[in-house]
Amino acid sequence: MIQRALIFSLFLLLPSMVQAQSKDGTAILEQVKEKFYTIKEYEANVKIKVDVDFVKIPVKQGLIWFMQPDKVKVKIPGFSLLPKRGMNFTPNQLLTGDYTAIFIREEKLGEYNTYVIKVIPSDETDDIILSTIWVDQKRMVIRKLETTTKSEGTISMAFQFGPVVKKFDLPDEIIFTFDLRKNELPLGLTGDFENTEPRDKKSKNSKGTVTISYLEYFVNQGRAIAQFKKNK
Amino acid sequence: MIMITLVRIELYKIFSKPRTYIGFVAIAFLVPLIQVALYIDGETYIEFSLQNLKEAFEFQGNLLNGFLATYIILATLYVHIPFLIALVTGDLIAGEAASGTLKILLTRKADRTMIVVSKFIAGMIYTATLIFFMAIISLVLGLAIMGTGDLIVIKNTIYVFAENDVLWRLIAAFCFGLIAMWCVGALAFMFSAFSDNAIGPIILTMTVIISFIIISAIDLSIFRAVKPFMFTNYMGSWKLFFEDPVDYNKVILSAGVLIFHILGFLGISIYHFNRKDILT
Repeated sequence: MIQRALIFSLFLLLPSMVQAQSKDGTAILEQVKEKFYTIKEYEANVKIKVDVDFVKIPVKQGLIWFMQPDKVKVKIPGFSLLPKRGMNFTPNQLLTGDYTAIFIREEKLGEYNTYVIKVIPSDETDDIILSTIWVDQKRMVIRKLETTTKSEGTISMAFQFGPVVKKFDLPDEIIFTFDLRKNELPLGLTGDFENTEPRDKKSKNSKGTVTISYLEYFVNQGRAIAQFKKNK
Repeated sequence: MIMITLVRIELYKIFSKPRTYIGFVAIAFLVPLIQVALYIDGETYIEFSLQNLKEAFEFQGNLLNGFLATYIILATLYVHIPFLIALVTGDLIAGEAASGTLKILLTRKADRTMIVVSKFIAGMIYTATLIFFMAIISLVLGLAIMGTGDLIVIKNTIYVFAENDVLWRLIAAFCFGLIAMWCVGALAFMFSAFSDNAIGPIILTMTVIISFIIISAIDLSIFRAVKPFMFTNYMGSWKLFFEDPVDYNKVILSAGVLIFHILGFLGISIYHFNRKDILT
């Protein structure tokens, strides 16, 4: 009786197991990479908004240049805070070298159907321990990325795309979320010696977000090539 | 018309004394020294202050600029500038009493109130000149050495102000600083009315300011209760211009308290001077 029940339940589970195995994480990511390879270089007008509870900085506007495979340059007038990791993120950068991609499941991320894939670098010395990628099933673009690193904790990136699929499917907005340690700020730089406001006694951990809005792209028009040549 | 003549005479007297120029010389020496030191070593200073942010952020652009240098100068020097102001305003009446010229002055047709007020106005003009000199030398030299840029201010919150949003804040801070220094000048002037030697009012003014600042800095409940009644508690309110949004209610309250003190010190000076016995 027990044997029959076991065989019956195996029959029930079989279709889902077969479906899971049929999705190849590496193949999905290869499609994402291939799509991204059509973009040789671009220049983009961007707006950068930093949202950290103990930092008040105005929204900045500037330019970002990208050139394959991984060259990124940012120019923003004045002073700006940029996320340490992720600013120069490209699918190629994450997926070059030796890695294992495991298809986990299909998941509805907001209104989009996505494939959830875990990527583990084979190199033990790599700073990235594990990345989870949500790939849009329809557009084959990354919708969300979560990376756990040895040095900087967990960083999350959410990619927003416009409703219309253009020739080059690049994001309209990237939201970086990361852990931030709030230390006691040292006095002295600006001579705030007589500040008698009660100061926070304990260090707090908080989340920080940086939103990069891409206002305009100039793809494969040679603008980034000229920019990187100028720097040589 | 008599008042203008009296003020001009008082200004002539102030600017004829070598001690008047001590403040200008000190500022002309200290400000460039701080600017050059910041230019050489400022980057390390900033990096140290922002090290926790460096864990998560990449810094883009230059924070070491003339605006930051001016802010630092304002923050560090405004504790010491009162001495330079008291040096002159504390001498306005007491100096003349000590040298014996006060008796001759009071034989003239102008009444005592007019004489006190003209001396007070001359003292305030000197203070304004000194602060204006400090503002100009800090800004012009700072911008010439380090250029412009965004301003970073580190408090419990880190504020970064865009380059085009800084100059008005610095001008407003200097204007508020001037009201604070007028208050110091008025205090020294009041002590001067009570004294017959010039050293006493200067030392007394500095003693009051240093004592009040120390009491303000010690965070004990007994001091917390008296803090609102000490004018030094409102002198640092120029820093409110470097918050976002600016708490204008606090700025107006602080300026109001300082102006109230200035008028109070002047009133006491007039009252006492009118009753001062100059015959003995």
